[in-house]
Amino acid sequence: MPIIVNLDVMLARRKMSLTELSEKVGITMSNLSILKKGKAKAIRFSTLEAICTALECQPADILEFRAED
Amino acid sequence: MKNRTSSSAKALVLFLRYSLIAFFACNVFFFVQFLIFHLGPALLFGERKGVYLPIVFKPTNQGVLTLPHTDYEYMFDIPSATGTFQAFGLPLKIFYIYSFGGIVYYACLFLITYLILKMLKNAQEGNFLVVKNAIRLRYIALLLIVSLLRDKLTIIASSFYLREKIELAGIEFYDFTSYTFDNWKYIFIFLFLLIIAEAFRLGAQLKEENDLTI
Repeated sequence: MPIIVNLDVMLARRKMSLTELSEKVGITMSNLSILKKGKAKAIRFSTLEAICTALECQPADILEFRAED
Repeated sequence: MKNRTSSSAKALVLFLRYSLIAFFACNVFFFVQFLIFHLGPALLFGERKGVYLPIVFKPTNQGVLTLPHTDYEYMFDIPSATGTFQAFGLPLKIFYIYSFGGIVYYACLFLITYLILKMLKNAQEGNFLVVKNAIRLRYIALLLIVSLLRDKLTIIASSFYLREKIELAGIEFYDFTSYTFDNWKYIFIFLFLLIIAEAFRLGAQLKEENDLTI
């Protein structure tokens, strides 16, 4: 999929663990793991808002578009 | 209440699974028997056992029906019926065609049972609504259509072949009768099953998408 999820990069920048983010956002670890691995098919605006609030970033910092060859 | 429903559903799935396993084992036994005592001697030694060919016929005589508590006797006739013709020592070609029909029948039966067992296993594990099950359902419908066609082709072919060759007092033999096409309505059920399989596939895809929406 050409949409890349840079959640791990943002987590590293904010020096935050996945467990911490899971607690702050209220999403299960397994769902966050699916998102981090890029296996998610879609993301709700409410989830994106919660992650952006927790990581103090913009949606573009988490999601990136890379055209397929 | 919910737990009771869930446990009864689980028990039903378990019962169906073990019944199907028993059915599968019985058919494996019959198939092995067919290979050892029927097809094996023909392939190895050219020995032909009796073949059972379906035939369409009509008794020429009328019968009498007497209902209880009435003084009337009613005449009746049998417009058409199918029966089994058993013959020994038929030409090897016919024997092989008959055996091929038998193998197709067993192959369909085994595959359908296997696919249903797989579906029931998934249901037992709690993930019934998956794309794989939809594909299995589609294969089951296709195999049922194949087995129906095989049944009908066997009746038509053997009736056509035997009609002019056999004689039995009081019975007329036919190649085609209305009875030959009597069970064709089942094909609509199987086609409907194909539509259900497609709906199942779409449902499974939606569920998968919903599960992967964070």
